[in-house]
Amino acid sequence: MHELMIRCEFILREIQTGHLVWVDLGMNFNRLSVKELGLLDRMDEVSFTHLTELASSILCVPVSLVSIIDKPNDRQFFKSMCGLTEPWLSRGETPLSHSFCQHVAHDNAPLIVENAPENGRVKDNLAIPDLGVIAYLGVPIHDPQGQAIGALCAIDSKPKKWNDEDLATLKKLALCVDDAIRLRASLKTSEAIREEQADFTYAMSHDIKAPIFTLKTLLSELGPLFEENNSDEHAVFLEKALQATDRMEQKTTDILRYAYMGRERDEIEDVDLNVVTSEVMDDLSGLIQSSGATIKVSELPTIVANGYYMRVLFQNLLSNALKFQPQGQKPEITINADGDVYENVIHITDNGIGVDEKYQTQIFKLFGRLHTQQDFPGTGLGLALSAKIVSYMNGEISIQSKTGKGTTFSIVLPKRDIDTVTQC
Amino acid sequence: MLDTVLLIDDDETDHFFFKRLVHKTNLIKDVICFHYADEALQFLQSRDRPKIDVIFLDINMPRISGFDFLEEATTSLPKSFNESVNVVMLTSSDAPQDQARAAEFDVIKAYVNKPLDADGLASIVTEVV
Repeated sequence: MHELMIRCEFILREIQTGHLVWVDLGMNFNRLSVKELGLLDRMDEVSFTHLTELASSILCVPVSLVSIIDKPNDRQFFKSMCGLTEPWLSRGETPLSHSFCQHVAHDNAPLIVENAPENGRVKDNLAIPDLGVIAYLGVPIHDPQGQAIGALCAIDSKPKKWNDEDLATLKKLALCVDDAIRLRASLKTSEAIREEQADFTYAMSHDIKAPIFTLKTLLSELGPLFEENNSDEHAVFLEKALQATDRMEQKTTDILRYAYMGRERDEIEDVDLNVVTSEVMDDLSGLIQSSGATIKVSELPTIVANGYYMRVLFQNLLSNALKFQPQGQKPEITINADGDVYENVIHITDNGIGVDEKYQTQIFKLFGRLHTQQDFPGTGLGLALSAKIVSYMNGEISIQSKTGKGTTFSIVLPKRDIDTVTQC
Repeated sequence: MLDTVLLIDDDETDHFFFKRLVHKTNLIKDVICFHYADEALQFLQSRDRPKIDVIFLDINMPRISGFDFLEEATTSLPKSFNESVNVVMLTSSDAPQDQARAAEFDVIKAYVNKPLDADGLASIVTEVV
């Protein structure tokens, strides 16, 4: 018996540390390098291309570049090139010996050159003989942390007087380049978070669910041993322990369901809500009979949706309507629909305990609960999942309720065409 | 030995363990239990309630969390509440942000992770007495 208890404790510790390690991991994201931001990739990118084309046409110059300074590899890399000629166009980069832009990045300030051979700072730069750079106007571009990483520049092959307006225009375009880089960083970060979340969900399903199951088995093994010892208190302990593992199991299942929702491209089909309702009522028939509930269902529409999620949604709302009732009261539930040419609206109304206005937003939150396990058992995920399902369909869920006066949940779902939904 | 303490915790099993510990250690005469923090607030507002030595308070509870309770109690209850009462956070959360938030309340005298054992209870009682 002692050995069994030690195993239980060991498993619980495992569950606990596993969870904490993940929370720590999720806390910080490293700064993305220029390479990680994809700024040294040879991929054509429209947003940068448009900006160099704009710079070239507004400033009336033949060449405009977005140049990233890559010191470790002694080069400037052209993320976007407008008007560059061969062989530079194919190379897409030059050694730093040919770079005006490095000065812009170094100073984090504009570089204004009207006639390069006469400019003290760049007169020996090899870009003059090799690329024919004579007039140059460059302004810095930045990574999301504000560090200058290169330049947006305008180049002419003959001397040119840059005026204040030229500089102001190029600065504005450089801000657009910064925005494009920031957007890229946000996308990369959210991608990383998604991947991390997928890993976590996987860990939940295996690393946590498995030990919960083991724990349950071990606790069940303890039962007969306690009976031999004939100890009432031990039996109570064991019962409570088993209840707790049941809750853990249920909660893990619900969390997984919530996490997976919307991750895969879910199949969309015509879903007859009358069929969904009768299937769900079949699933809940035990509860419906034991509570003596009457459920009136009006004619419901057929909608374009994922059938599985519609069943989950109806199951959650209907079981809530059955569950949250004053003791001994027979649930009276109606399910009906209205709407117009643009949307379907489904109402599920009950005569239950109702929800105080104060708590009506709380109930849709993850793990938001208004009652103890003894009063109304649950995982605090049902309505959060329901809201997620509805928002996944571009719909809205709302509640009208008063304490003691019953509750109506209304779901507004925009009408969709099955062909357009499956195409996009 | 303390006369009366409040336990505010939504979990029935935790009530069971707390009362059992009190019974075994004989350090507290009377425990008044609440499953909901708003019910405890109502109780504290009543005039004829006994003097409370310590409030043992959970964090994650339905409707009103332990922190919501403290915000409400420290602002809406008479000044004497802040001066006389001792609150002990008794929670399964060891998250740093919860501990930091608890530290912001003067009425909180200790932050204890579940399960509370006999030594833990003894040291809380000694501190209060």
